[in-house]
Amino acid sequence: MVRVAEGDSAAYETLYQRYKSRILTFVMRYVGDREWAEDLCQEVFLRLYRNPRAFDPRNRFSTWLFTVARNLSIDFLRRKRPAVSLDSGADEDMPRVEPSGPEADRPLDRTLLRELEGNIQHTLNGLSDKLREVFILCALQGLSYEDVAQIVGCPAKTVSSRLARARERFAQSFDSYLAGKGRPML
Amino acid sequence: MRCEDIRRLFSESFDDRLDAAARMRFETHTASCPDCAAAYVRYETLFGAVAALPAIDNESPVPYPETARVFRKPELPVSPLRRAATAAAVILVLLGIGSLAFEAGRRGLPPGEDLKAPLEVAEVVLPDYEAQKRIRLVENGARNVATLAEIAPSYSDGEMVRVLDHASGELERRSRLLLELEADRLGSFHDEFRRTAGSLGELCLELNARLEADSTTELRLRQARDLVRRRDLDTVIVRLANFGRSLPETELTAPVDGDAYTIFLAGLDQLGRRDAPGALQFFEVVREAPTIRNSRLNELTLHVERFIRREVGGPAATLDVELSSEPPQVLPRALRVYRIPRQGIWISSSMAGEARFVVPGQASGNGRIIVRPRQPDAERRIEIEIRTPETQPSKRKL
Repeated sequence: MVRVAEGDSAAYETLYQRYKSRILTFVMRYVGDREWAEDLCQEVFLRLYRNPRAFDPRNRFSTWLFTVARNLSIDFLRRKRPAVSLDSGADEDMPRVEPSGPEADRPLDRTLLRELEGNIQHTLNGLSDKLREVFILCALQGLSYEDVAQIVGCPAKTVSSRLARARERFAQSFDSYLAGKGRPML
Repeated sequence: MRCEDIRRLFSESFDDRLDAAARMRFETHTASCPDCAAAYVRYETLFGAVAALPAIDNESPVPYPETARVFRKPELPVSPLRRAATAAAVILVLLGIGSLAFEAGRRGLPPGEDLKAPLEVAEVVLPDYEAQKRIRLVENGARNVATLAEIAPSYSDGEMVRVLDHASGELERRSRLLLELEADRLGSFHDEFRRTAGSLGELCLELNARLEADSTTELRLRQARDLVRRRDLDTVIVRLANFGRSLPETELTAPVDGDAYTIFLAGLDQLGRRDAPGALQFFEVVREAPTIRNSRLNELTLHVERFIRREVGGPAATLDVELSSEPPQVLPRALRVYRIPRQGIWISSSMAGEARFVVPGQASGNGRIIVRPRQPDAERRIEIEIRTPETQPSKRKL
């Protein structure tokens, strides 16, 4: 970040390559729209480029970047909340991430992963914003409770309780989906 | 505790955030309540799969404002002094890379050369989501060091070293987790490791640049060397770990002859944990670099986590599992049996379960696994693939 602040474009590009996937995943899961998510992701990095000194070096860089991404996503949802119906065909509307690599070779995980990949957005959309953001950051991105607490601005204990609720509702929603499709639940 | 109280703890248990007392209550309850145990298995399976979902990526170009001018700093030649200083910093930070860093330090090689070397990997079978989780841990570690490099100049000496010490310890732990990836992921693992190690190397260069820019560089490097020296390469360290939870470690002050198994047992004796039931998930034996590079971290552990059950029906149930070989020794006595309708079952050594676990005694021995339904009249034919670190996968019908 110091180098970015000095105008070093190579350092900026390194940061972009390092974090773009995580930020895009977060924003995509948060706003539920791939095209908007890509735009927002670009905006996150443009803000970083334009004003690198906004980063307080006492904080962790990734935490700061997620905070920027979250704030932009919240602003976006306030301005233009996409009309995503819980009953819409998630399989058709939502982007699918095709399993690749070793995951696709493991019969045990493959079916579950495929189910999740096809419907995770559908299930996430059923969560409130507060629960969804914690779920994405902790359960999907693997951030610590403490980092997420800093990003969303609440105590770690609150993150823990929100995450527990989010997981519970996610599981219920996912089970309902499977049941609705006539598939046995896990 | 009531079942509903236990289920409120699922999330924190899954993230390993329970304190010791809550963990004890949780384990006690799930060990005696098949419903909660099955529900937790299901919970772990679902959210393990959630954690393994691949990240979304795109090929969008790096965004710049329309008026931005793109320039790059010229690459400056690296002086011998800087290279030597870099090596010291790398040794410090890359304690996380364990044997590689040791090797680099001993031979005094430029770290970049060694980091690119192929890595020998413990042959351990883990579910994919575990592997993903562990890769993520290491990636997070790399990012932490990146941040550290950025903020290093703002720290005073004592803080600096303390932070570095912590970071190196964290990296060590995480890289060891990475070392346990399963054998059939070797290709992607190697790529992942090289990428991670490569980025760490870059980060170390950054860190070194920060150190050099500081007037107390020499002091810090001396402290760094002290940190390295604490890890006496002639001392065998036996550390017991339990999937992220710290367990005691012991140092065998005199070199111990024999293979890793002998050393491990000696370490357990020193710890007084040889008979501790169900506490040991895996272990690490750290010896001098050439040994560890050629050894397999889990060669004494018989992980049975790859199994495919072809015919499954009915509600989830707990199965009794017996795993045996001669002579029985020191492995977890509890196994968790995961059973997922339509997909199969899998078993992992975990904190609780109905399993009986008789451990293997010889590093070269074969494991034997018997899976019995709890209902004696239920007929099940279960096809299980057993992979031990010492043998090729074999399929047995039980």
